[in-house]
Amino acid sequence: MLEVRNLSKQFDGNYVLKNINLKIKDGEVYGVIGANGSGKSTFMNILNGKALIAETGGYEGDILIDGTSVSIKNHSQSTAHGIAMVHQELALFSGLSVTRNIKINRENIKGKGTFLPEFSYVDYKKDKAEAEKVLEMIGAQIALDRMIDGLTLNQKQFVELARELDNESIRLLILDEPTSSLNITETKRLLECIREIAARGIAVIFISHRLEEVMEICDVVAVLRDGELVSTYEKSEFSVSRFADDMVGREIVKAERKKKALSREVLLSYDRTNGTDRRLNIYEGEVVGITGLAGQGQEQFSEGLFGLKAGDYQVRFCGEELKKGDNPELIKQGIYYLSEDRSGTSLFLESPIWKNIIFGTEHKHPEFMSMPKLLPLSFLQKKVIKEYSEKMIEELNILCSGPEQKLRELSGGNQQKVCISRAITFGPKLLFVGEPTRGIDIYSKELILKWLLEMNQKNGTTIVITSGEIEELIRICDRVIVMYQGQVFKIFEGNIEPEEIMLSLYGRTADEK
Amino acid sequence: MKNKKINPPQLIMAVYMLVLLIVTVMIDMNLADIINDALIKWAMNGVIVLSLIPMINVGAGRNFGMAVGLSAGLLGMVFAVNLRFTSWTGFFSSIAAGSLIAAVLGFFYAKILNQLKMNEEIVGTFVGYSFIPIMNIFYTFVPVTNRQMLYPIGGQGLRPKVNLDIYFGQVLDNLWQIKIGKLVIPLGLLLFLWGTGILLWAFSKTRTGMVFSAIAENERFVQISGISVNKYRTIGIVMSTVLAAFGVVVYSQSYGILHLYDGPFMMSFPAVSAIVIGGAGKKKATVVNALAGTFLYQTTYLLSIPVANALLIPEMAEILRTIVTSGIILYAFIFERKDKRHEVREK
Repeated sequence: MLEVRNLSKQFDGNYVLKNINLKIKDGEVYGVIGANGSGKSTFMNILNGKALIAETGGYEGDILIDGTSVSIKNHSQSTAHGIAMVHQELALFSGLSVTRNIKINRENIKGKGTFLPEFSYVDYKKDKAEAEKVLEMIGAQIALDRMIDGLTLNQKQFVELARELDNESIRLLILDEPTSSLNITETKRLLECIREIAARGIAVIFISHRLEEVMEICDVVAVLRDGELVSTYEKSEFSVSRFADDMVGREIVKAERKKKALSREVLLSYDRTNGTDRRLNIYEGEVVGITGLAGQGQEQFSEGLFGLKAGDYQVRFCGEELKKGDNPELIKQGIYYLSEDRSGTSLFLESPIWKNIIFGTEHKHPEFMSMPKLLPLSFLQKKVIKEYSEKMIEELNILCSGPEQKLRELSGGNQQKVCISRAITFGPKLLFVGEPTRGIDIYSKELILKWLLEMNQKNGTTIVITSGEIEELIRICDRVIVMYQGQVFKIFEGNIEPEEIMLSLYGRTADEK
Repeated sequence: MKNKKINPPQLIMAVYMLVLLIVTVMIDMNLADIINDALIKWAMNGVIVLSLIPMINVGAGRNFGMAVGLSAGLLGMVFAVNLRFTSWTGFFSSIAAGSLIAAVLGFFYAKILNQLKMNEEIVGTFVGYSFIPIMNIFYTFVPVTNRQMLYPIGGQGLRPKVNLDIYFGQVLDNLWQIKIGKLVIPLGLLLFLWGTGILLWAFSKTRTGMVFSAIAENERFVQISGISVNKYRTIGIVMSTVLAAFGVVVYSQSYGILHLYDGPFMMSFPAVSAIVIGGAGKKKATVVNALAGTFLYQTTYLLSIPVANALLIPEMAEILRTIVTSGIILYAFIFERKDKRHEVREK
């Protein structure tokens, strides 16, 4: 039914999808799995005609439906080819009834006039009857007049599914993590429903992080890694460990960090996390990675501490209790945070590089001030700052025209280097870094990791990295913490096997393979 | 100045001024008189326009609630006139008393604005509008003993307009006047304006000034860096309020009349309009923006009066002024909105 040939997609020269080839038959459930950032969502966005794709230069390669090449430039073209998508975040009108939501944009109309057809009277009765039919088909029992507000998450999911299925020309249904917010019984219902849909001859693309579901429901599974389709498996070849292997990649780069005896001095501890008695300790002088699938609560430790998000725990630093969100105190204690949202919380894009390098570090560097005693009203020692910035630019290999260049004009990798150089200037005791290598080319990645390690080894900075890049974490971290459903699932130490981490991401342990 | 681009407001105003100037010469107006008046107008309004700068730079928007600071300045002058201070004593005690009151009021004004971030401009407008009637009530029973400020009949409540000539009217205007033929350059007044400007410019180069612009650019980042955003916003808003008090004292001594009650009602719009003409954005304004904008705005207004009166209907000048003032502010809003949308699409 659907065939994809040499599909590629680049964002500013970085390929996030490379030569994808696949075929999907009518009535087939096609599973797509892969780690975060492996290109799954980009692939779906292309099929669904997301505006983002067209705005960033479109895709390369061919998409064929029933053997004829089609071009998908916008959402309505995608719909016209019978492609429908149910999103991970539900898109429903909360103030409208179930019927209205299902029939939206396809309402039955009484006596459509030639004059102002937009104002025709809607035949609610007929709408209701049709909506009921669709809901019955997927086996959901939901009162048709109820408002979306009052439904459970599961019911909402079914309404969304019903809305897409009500479109009779539907050929291909894309489900993006449909079960991520459902419990076991609800999941079961949904999976049954998906099978029924497939039995009607509709092809389904099923994206999920839960491997057991994928194994249960899919006929074929494709594994994506770093934008490439690494393998395709038929039902008879399914195995969780195979999937995990393919998702990480077999070639494991040699660890860069020097093995060292782990200090057991607690630097920072999170007590009573999420209302439980559990405690998470950060030891002095270690590099610790926090990972997990998207949305498993891995950022709660850094963002919660700096008051960007609620964090359900108590924090102790060197034995002293800290108030969450009391940033002046955190900074005073030498705790620094480089957020993963670089442009949103870590950079002044319209300002020159020098300002981005020294901002917030003045109290540690009186030489930047011409009259340090007058601190708040002191002028800046521009010459010293400029020389310092030039030194930083050279050491971190920041590609720019000089310290006066605006941050906006730099590439993502160089912006991140500016962030890192600010952290170096600050010289923290404890540094939190969010996704330090996201969206950055390989060369800069290594440089940034190298500098993080150097800060750790030379200055004894304890570093907490939140990242989805498991391979990198294994290379540079002394310990890796895996988060699952908002909780610390497992802490890895010593020789870390990537496959084990991969499994624990999905809430499994190695022995239950 | 890195931003050398000339935006439509500056262009329109410059062309308009040029046309007016040519017409003025054609209808035989005295050029020297016009220049004299233009300089006075520039300096008397300039400080008020400068007062907008700290608030814009700290990201709290253009101070549409300027009436708070202006009222403080008026109260300062009421205080000075009530004690019958004349000349410099009157001028400086007005400024001192006005700044004190402005600092206190500005603190509470900042409290309100910090609760309602992102909406400072509209909130400020309403703070200003609601503050004036409160002051009006206050003026009616303030215990003043100087009969020259009281209503002649009944002797209760302040007059709407108090003549300052016998106190400190034109005291700054007349300082160090340089006369070249018919030209009179009010050097003292200009120096006061430039001095305020230079202080503000120097302030922007300090660490606090850097934090100000940093807040306007990325508040979350500043917050994470362990700097209290609200504290700096409060400082900026208090600075703007105090400077507005300064500004109204300078304005009043030049005008020669202490205009109470609804006097400050319509003062924020021309000031905002002037700084926008000068090329200031919503989050960044320089001293040059303020001074150039004020000069353009005030001179144009000055020229349009005789021209309009000679060529058009007599009331035309005021109508034109309102159209230009409001139009420029409207333009600024539209222009910024467009910019924002543009940015979103780029992402």
